[in-house]
Amino acid sequence: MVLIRTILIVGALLAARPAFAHAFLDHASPSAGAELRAAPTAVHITFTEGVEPHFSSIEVLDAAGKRLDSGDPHTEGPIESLAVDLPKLPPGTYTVIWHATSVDTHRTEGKFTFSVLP
Amino acid sequence: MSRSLVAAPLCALLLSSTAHAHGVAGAHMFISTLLIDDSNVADEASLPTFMWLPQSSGAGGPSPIASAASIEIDKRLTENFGIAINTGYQWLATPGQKTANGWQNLAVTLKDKVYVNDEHEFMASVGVTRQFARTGANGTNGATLGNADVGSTTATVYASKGFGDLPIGPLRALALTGTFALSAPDVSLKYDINGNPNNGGARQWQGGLSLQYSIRYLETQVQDHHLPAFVRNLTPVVEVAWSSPASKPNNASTQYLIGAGINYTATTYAVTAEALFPGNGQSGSHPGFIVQFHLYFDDLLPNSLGKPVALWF
Repeated sequence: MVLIRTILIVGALLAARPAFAHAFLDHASPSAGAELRAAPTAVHITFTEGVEPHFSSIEVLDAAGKRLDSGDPHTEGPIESLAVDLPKLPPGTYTVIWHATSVDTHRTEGKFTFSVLP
Repeated sequence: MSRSLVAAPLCALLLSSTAHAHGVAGAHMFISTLLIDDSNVADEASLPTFMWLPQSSGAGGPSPIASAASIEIDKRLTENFGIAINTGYQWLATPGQKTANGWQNLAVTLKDKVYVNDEHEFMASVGVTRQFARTGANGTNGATLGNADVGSTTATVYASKGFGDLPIGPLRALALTGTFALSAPDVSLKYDINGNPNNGGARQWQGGLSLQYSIRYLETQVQDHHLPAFVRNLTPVVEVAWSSPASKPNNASTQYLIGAGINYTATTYAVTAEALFPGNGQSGSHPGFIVQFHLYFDDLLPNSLGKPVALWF
C-alpha cells in the first residue's frame, strides 16, 4: 500500500512537471556540423525549456574569432526558441556559442560549428 | 562464516558509492552513475537502485544471490555544499538455506564541489562519508549480510572531465569520471593469541572510473544526425568500481566490479540499467544487473526542494 502510494505521488510529480528545468539545446538551425550551400540569415535555437532572452545569448563567430551576429537575441513565438540575425555570410566555417538561462534561472551553455560552402 | 566474508566487501563497495548525482560543466552533462559517485552536488534522489549479483560460494557450494534495493536522498545546503543519505534493504539467498535479509547501515555524505571549469568541462569535489554501525541489520544476520559492526569514515576525491577539448569531433562526446577514497573503520582489526578476530576492520582504498558517451552532446555540439528524441537522450556507460585493503591485518581482498549499460536522461528523471560483471572471484561468481530510477529535484521542484536550504529563508 505504501509502495502504491509512493508510485502515485512520484507519477503525479512527473505528470505535473512545470516548465522549469535546465534548458538544453533541443535542435538548431543551422544544425551542428551542417554544411550549407546557401548562407543562413539567422541562427535559431530551440531549447528543451523556456529561456529568458535578456539573460541568454547567441554569438556567431567567424574562423578568425570575429563576432558577426546582430547581438540582439530574441524569442520567436514559443519561449523555448531563441534567434539572432546574421549579415550575409561568405563561405567559411562559423562557430555558434550559446548561453541560456531558463525561466527558473538554471544556466546552460554550448557551442557548435556550421559551414557555408563556396 | 565464509558467506559473510565473501559478501561483506562487495556490499561495502556498493554502499560506499553514495550520492549518485549528475552535473553540468560547460556543455557536458555527466550522468548519474551507479557503481561510483560523480563530483556533482545536487538536489536529487535515487528511488530506488536495485542490484542483483550472484556471490562466490567460497567453499565450492551453490552461489548465494545478493540483492539490494537502496535509496538515496541528496540535498544542497548551499550552492556547492550538500548532504546525501543512503540506506536500503538487502537479501542474501543461499540455496537450501533460509534467506538472510535486513536493512543496510545508514551512510551520510557531506560533499563540497570545490572547482568547476566550464571551458574545459571539468569538475572536482571532496567529500566525507560516515557509515553508522548497527543502524541496519546487526548481530549474526548483519554479519551474514556484510554490515560492518563498527562505524567507518571515508574521505573521497571526485573528478569529472568532458572530452570537449579533443580535435576529433565524435570523441568530444566522451566523458570520464572517477573517485578515489580511503575508508577507515573506528576499530582496527586485531587477532587474539588464538587467532580469533575482534569486530574491527582494515582500512580500505576505494575508487572507480566511468566512461560515458553522450549522444545528446554528439547531436547538439558536434554533428546533428537528426536522431529520434529518445535516442538523443541516451548515454552508453561503462563503469568499474574497485576496493583493496590498505592496512594489515585485513580480512578483505581486492575486488573489482564492472558495469556496462545505458542511461536515459529526461528533464526531471533518469533511468539507468547496467549488466554487472565481477572482475575476480572475490567480487562475484556470475554476471548480475543493476537498475536505477533517479529524480532531479532541482528541475522537478525548483522553488522548494530543488534549491539550496540556504536560499529557503
